[in-house]
Amino acid sequence: MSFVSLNFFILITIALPLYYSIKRSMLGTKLLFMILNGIFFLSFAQSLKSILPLLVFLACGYIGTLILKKFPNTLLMWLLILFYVFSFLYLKRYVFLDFIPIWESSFLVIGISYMLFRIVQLNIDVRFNTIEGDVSLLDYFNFTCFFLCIASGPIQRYQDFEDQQKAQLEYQLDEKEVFDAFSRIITGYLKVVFIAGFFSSDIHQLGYAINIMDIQRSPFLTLGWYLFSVTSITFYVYFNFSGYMDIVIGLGKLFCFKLPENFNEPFRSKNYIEFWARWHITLGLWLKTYVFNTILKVLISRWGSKTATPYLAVIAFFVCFFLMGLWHGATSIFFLYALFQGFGVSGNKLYQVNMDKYFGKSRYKKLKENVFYDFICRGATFSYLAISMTCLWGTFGDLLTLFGDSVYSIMGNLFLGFFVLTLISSILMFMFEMVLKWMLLLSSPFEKIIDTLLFRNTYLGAKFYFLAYCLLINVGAPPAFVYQEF
Amino acid sequence: MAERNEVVKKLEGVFQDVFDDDDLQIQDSTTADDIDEWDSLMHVTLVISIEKSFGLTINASEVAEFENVGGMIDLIVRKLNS
Repeated sequence: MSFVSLNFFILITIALPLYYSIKRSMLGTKLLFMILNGIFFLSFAQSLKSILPLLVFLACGYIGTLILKKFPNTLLMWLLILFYVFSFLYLKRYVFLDFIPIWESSFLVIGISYMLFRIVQLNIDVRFNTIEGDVSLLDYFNFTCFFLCIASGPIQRYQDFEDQQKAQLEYQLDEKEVFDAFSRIITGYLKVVFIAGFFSSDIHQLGYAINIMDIQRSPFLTLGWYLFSVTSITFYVYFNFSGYMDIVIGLGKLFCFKLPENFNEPFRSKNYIEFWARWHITLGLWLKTYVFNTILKVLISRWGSKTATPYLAVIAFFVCFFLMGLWHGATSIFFLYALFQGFGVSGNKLYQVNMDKYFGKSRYKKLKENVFYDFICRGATFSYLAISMTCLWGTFGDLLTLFGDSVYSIMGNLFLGFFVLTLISSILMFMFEMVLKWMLLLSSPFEKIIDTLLFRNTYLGAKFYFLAYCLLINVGAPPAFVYQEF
Repeated sequence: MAERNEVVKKLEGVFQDVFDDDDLQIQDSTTADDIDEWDSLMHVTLVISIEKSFGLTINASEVAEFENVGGMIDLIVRKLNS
């Protein structure tokens, strides 16, 4: 069931009045969410057989949680985590596990990546007694399969999810919050249907750059189209995913759930480490909490010293973001994507450590405050991300077709592309910030009008009609949510 | 029974040592935004120093729950008294 489908609209239309009629009962709301989660989950299944592996995966997660509650042992916890990760890799059909036979060719893996994060977190925190009380099967199912978050997050900790389940009982939405929730949902749909839809058109795809290369045989034109494609792909992923988050967070608000934000103006990031703290925030936080901190703690405890510690962080960053890259996909191109992410973040840390060392902390700080340096850094961050996105949409074959059949030629073109795109995006970002500044300045006298009920309702109505128009002219398959595939 | 005041005093020493600043003073409301050097790397270094100084273990989820120094102090007091 897609969020852009009529079925989902009907489900929400029925669920909301039901929710408000039983809102005061904890068991009632939990049961309602269980039904909603079940309907949403089962809507993806083609047959009972096709959902069996995922159900077994979920059941194993729950059995593991119960075992760790009874026997809180660290070795046991690690063995269970290894088992979950192996099961995940097997069910997602990672290429290096191809040699293990599978009994069914098409089965459901919807949300398994996000379930893995939730189950691992639950097991770690149960082992270390950070979760008070027992975890019931109902709570476990609602946590791992919450219909708003099952497909693409945001990733919440069990404790936070439970706190919100309790808090929503007493929470009363006011008029402004309801308005903001609807406004955000409509903005989300507009981002997914209109903006992301625009960036997913054929002309923006890598295939178009390949066609240009076939017809023109001009390396500069090919590189230009390639950069145009990867920039479009980056915007497509951003608007699709952040639009999805707007819908999820807006709907969550209507169900009195304050779901965590997943984006915070990522294209304003001045470096790649900052970028991952602003893009897919809950994934970054999860990795920081359970992977980065754990690795770094072990490394510092063994080899930590004032000089060595920053370099140990470089290693921890690499491992953490390499794993994050691998998590994105099962084919061999994702290995390259993982290397991109690992080297991007760890290289960024290494750069910072060396700049600190050679320039001195205060001079480096001053340099970072320089506007020219600031925008070059923003441009470089965007450019690196956009080029790494090639791996999500292309294949090794595409890169060979575009840039010749030698590794040197591919690397040379990617480096050249990185510098060109850095320069262009730095300039465009600077111009964008200037325009934004002027717009804010010009709109300041009208602040009072903008804040009136009439203006806000007119704006919401306009967005709604524009969305309806976009949906009417785009009568076909609803746009897919890109992160659902990861 | 560990007193909160004693924990605060000892923790201030840990902060001064980790951030290499003898004048550094901490308050319950102090967060990573208030100390220039306090990034994810220093956070882990700080946790390890706290573990060593107070002789306790802080797990991954507890590290994530530190919203400010006050939260850190409460956790240390709770752990020492349990």
